[in-house]
Amino acid sequence: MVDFFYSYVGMYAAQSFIHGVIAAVIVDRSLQAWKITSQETAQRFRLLSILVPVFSFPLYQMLNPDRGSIAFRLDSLFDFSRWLHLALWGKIPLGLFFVLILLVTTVIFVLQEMAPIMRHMIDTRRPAFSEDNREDAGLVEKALEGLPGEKPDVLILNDSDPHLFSSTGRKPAIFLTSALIRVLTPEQMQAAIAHELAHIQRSKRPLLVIVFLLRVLMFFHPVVLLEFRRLVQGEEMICDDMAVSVTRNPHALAQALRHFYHPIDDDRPHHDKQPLRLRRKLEEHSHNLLIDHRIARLEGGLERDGGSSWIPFTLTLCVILVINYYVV
Amino acid sequence: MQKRWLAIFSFAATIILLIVLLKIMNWVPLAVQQGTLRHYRSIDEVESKLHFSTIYVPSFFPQNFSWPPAEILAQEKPFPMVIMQFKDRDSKRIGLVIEQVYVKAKYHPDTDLKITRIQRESTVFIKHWEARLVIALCGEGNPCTQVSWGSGTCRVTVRTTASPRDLIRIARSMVAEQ
Repeated sequence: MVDFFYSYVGMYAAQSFIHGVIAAVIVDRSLQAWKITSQETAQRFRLLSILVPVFSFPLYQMLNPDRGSIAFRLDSLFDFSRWLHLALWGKIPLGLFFVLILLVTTVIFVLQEMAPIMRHMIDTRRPAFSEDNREDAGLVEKALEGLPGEKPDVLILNDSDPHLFSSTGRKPAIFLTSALIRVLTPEQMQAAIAHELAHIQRSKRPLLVIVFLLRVLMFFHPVVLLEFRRLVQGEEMICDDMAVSVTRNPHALAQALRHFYHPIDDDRPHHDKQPLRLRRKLEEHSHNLLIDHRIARLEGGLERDGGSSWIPFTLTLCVILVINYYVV
Repeated sequence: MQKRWLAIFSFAATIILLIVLLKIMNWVPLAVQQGTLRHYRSIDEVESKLHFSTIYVPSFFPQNFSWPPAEILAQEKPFPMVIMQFKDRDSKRIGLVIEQVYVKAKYHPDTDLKITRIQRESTVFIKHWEARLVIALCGEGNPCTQVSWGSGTCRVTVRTTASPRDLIRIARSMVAEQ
């Protein structure tokens, strides 16, 4: 265990973790201090919490190869290895718990992020949409007519639950269920599709693709896991903003979102075991909270930041880089 | 304008608080666990505070190096280690380093006198211990020599800007006759 934290892999894992924590704290405080409410600006700041842990250690080592030396460690602002080598009851090193945290994060990443993506990729290759439902198709086409830009394929799935999602890539498509078409008004349908179009449009940005790849690379990193999830939530709100800028109807999008609440119903028959049921309830609750927040934003009027955010951004980046340099 | 200054003040206050918090968190392990890596003023202090069975100190000491050591670092946890650095009287730079590291730790401390290029390696005997002698370049390309040997539970390394002959004499003076 001790040898691992003196190896480059161990030092990378430990330092990228602690650099990520510090970056996330500074970014959060920076967003509050400068009262940054625009999701697009906030996303630029939050990207730092993902990018810094990836590059900080190799960058600092390149600048100063003696950064790992004893002299540097003793004079540093914070030496994480002191905590990792602390032994509980004189026997169990805290580093063991740190490695456990990394392992749990890896398992969460595989089960909650990679597995659904794989499932989604397989599902979208399997065409399960109805072609004979001309009435539904007509409603969707009408909604698309009022929206600018390139139109992707829209596929209607026969399903009794309301779902809406899009696939990106070279041939993007929007998928929606027949149940959703039946409950949405034409304005709500247009707002919902505009939101998905915004996702497709943004997925073409190389920066987001790179960030996703870096996130996959940092599969073990708990801070990157949390920050990436916040980024994804922020992405939903950015797409809400883009949809509203096209439709000029935030109320319609807010009403459409109400159809995506997950019912938390204890009376439903459960085949899941207790921990799985609890997990599902938690996931449904957090999904509903996000929907609530998005509806509140849309109905309360979308935020706009005044002035340039580049000065706070540059200052935040510099502070993160300087502090983390002295954190080993 | 006032809002901007308020934001800068609030952000600066957070950063100061974060730095103070990091400093405290850096100190906590030293307070909680005795025997972690720290500076010592003298070899006597190391002997009195830590439980080392042997601390390797040379009895032969070339005159161009200053005694006592310019820096003494020692720890018991996570593994026993003592590092002594001596300054060259003329250049005022570190000219002699003595490291004593727990043999199973596989740890090579980065000190102020670091080998950058090995030129020649050979085997020598430091009394009854088989040792590896390295002729190398250190730091900014200055010639240096190093000898290291396993001595029971620890690995002893002596690195110096002095000649190989002086290095061997320093090393031999550190090992007691069997």
